Amino acid sequence: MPKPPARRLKVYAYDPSIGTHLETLGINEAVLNVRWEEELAPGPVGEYLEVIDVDPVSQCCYAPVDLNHPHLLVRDGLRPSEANPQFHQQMVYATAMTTIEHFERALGRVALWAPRETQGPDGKRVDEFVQRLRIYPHALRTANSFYSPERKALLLGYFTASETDSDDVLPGGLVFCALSHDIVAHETTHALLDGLHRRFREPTNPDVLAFHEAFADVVALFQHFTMPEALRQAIAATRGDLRQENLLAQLAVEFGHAEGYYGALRDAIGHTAADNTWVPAIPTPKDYGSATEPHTHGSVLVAAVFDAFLQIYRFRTTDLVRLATGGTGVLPPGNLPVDLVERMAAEASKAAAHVLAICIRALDYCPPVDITFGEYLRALITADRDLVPDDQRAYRVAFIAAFRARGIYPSEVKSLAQDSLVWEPPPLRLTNVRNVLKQLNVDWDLDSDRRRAYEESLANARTMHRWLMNPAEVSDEELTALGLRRIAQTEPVTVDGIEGDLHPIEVHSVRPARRVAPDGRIQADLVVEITQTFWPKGGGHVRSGCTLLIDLKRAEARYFVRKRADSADRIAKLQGFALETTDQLPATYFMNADRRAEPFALIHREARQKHVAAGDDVPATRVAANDGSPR
Amino acid sequence: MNGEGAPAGFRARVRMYRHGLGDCLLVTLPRHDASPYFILIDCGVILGTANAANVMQGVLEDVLQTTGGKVDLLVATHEHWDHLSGFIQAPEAFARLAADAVWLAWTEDPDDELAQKLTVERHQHLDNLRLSSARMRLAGDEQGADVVGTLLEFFGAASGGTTNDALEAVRGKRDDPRYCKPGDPPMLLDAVGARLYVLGPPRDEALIKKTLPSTKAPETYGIAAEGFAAEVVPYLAGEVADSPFSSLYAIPNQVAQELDFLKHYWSDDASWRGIDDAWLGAAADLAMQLDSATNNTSLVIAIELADGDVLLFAADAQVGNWLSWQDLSWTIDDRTVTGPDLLKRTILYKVGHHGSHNATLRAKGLELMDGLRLAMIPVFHDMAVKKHWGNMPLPGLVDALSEKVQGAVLRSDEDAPLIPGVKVTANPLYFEVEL
Repeated sequence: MPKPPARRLKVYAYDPSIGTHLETLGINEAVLNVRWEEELAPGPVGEYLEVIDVDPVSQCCYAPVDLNHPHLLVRDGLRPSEANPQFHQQMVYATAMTTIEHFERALGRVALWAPRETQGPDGKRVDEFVQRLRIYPHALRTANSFYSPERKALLLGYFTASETDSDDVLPGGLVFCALSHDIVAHETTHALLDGLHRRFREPTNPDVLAFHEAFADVVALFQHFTMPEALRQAIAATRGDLRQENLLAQLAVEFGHAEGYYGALRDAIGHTAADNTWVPAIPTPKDYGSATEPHTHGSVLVAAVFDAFLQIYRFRTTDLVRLATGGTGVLPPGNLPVDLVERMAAEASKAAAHVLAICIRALDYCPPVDITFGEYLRALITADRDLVPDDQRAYRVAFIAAFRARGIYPSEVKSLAQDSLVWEPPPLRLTNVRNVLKQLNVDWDLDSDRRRAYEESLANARTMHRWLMNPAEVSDEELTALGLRRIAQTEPVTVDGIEGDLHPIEVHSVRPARRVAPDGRIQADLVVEITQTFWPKGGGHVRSGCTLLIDLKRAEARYFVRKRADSADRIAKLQGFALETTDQLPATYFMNADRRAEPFALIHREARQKHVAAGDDVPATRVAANDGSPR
Repeated sequence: MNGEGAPAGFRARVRMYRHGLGDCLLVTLPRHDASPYFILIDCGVILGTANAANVMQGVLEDVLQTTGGKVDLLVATHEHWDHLSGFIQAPEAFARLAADAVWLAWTEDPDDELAQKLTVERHQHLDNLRLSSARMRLAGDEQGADVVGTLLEFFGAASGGTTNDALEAVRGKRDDPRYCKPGDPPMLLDAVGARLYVLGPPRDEALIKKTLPSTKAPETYGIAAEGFAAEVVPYLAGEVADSPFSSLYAIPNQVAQELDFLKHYWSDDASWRGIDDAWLGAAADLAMQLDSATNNTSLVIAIELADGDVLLFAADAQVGNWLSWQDLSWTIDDRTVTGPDLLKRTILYKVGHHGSHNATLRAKGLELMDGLRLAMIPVFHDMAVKKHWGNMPLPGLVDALSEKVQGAVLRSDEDAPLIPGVKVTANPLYFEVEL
């Protein structure tokens, strides 16, 4: 008998603490179609995730839900309920699986978590495959939730709402991060991004940590918008009037409430004034340069992507409104026909899915270290052009315009025309690249066994490394053109007058990227990330490197994304930034970083502190206010 | 640079004891009649030092012998065990030491409002951190408990004497201790011809809590304290917090540990993913911040010799303390002396906080010290490693100092280098340089 294509699981469409209005009562339930996992064990524990519900502060555990129980199979899982911890388990599983599926579909291969880094008996680093991300739905009694890179786990908190939170929350009632779709998707994205780009946790410029946060926000926001249930009400309430599509923006800002980025997103997208009218934020080219904190900085990127989404949505629905209005485009007063609302919600949800896929796909086109927002724009444009050469619906134009309006420009490009944004091939052709491709095992795709995919990618990295180190295969000129230096072991060098030690080349990641374009073509590339680290005498370390995209069929490097660290200026800048931003106290007090550092916990804590410092009308705890919700 | 022409044949002697990880410095300045003026700055060793009482007894006996039982000035820089322990570990020897004057930082002044606010806050945090450390141990998180525990050890053992007791012992020496503020006029030692300037601690809460060079994250202390208050403190009290769910769903841990599904969570090979102690994570952050903020209450003294050369005793001053010296200025007779000016004329520097990364400012510190000839680091690296503080001293800083003074860096845990033109007495108990 064939397997069912999906397991239907109920979730809250909105955080229940903002969903208790009578008006929204009927719409707060959504059903997610989660990939069918045959072997799903109680927990749920599946191929990718294990939900373990221990509550250390309460010193107890909650019994695991068995989603394969026949009673749950026939009615789409448990009904949404704050009072049943087993529903919480179901909801985090369904939401996190949905995020994983979005990643896998966009990237064309099964997703892997970052390996566990341990030390072998000889003191060398050993990486261990981690099959499942753990999710602890009730890990902390605090308004904080975070991805723990050390534990490969999501730690979600719950807390008592304070009197001041808002009139929507029962004062003294409990708020659960596990029941917020956005928080679970946000933290899962941190984990997925970490699995793809481990070096994106190293803050080498103001954009890097901001990117981690902003990207997680983008995924959470647009994954939320892919649920038509979440949009229908908003569209009916705006009466589809495109000049009022700000309700989507209000939803986005509300999402910011849930994430604790309230002040930042409000500034970047807009806010509801005292008289209940919506005041959109007007983007200026100064937005990008003037934001200094990671979360305000990140919100500029979120706002840019959101802006692009609105334009795409507008483009996709204009014809519907004309059809519905006999060509005038002016809607009559009163409620919209249900059919029109349905169609418009479907368009919005489709546009959200496209934006989501475009944003995720760009990850294969990013530099291996030290990413900036400008480079992310180039990655977006290149990735999308690869897949959809003919941009009939003007998606890319929308992205470029939205980024430009906020002052996000890539350095080193002459214009913001699509052609100049697209990455270039390496300056010298890699003549013998075909030889190495023959030795690689590149069948890592959507059907692969994940442990094998992990092991093959390690073997591929070793093969690629051997190839790069072989002068008969890669000439000195070709290697220099990639910005790399062939050395067998660490040796002292002077880079532009700065003395230090240069470490050998490291091949970080070798992964295939396969996509099926809308026109049916299959594009298959190999993504190779190579880095080299320089340790200047003055302290710290400076990484340089490149990402190569190699066409598997034609055996040719198509794109080359380079990060340089070859000038005294640049090295000093990277060193200075590290000194300015990294808290070095742990380095003094904890040898070998043997402490469980939780970088994301700290960022989230800082964000909260910011609101308090800025005098925002937001309590120190996570907020579930609702000043512009669909009523 | 030796003091030819001076009646005693030298301008100053600085003795740095080599008793372990901790500060004890004895400065000798010759009076015009050649009799010595003694300044004892701190006398402590880190908790966990073997035979600490004997060690400190030995140090104080040497002080007694050298000074004839009386120092002219006794300075206790800040409330940390590795600077004060000797005052209560060798009570009998300390009782025999007379002091003509006692100096403490204004942050220890019981009549100063800001000082009291900081003290109360510190003690509250300490109590809660001690509880956190105990809870971590209870949760089986030895590592976390050690991290917090070793930081707490700067404030003395849980039983048998705290830094507060040691501070009281120093205070008890005189009924008129001076609480030094950076704005105070420098004290002229008439009979010596030297001046003592107080550079820190700054009278500014924000600067005291500023422990890192970063301009972007000046409120690290506040974030740590807030996280601790919200996430940890409410649940430190004895009883178990109520579960948010009906008892129908809750399985007590003792039962859960026997269940097939949950057994795995407590197994050894999965312990790296456990979260039993995760809610206490903010404790380690705060412990570090608190420790650094206390270092920042260091009383920093610059001794300006008659010829204008300066000896700088930075105690454990961190970034905020250093930064505050930039704005200091005194008018003496008809000349103006500023903080940066004193740094420029510094020839001997007692390196801050055992050579750690944030206790010697670069641009507004070391780089200003144009005349620097000698650096002294009281440190015991092997002990620091035992405490898991691998970067104490920070190799980069030692290199930078060494470059600046052409190798004239005295580390208490290493042999003394040859320093041309400076007489160095070296023995297992101390190094003494004579200028």
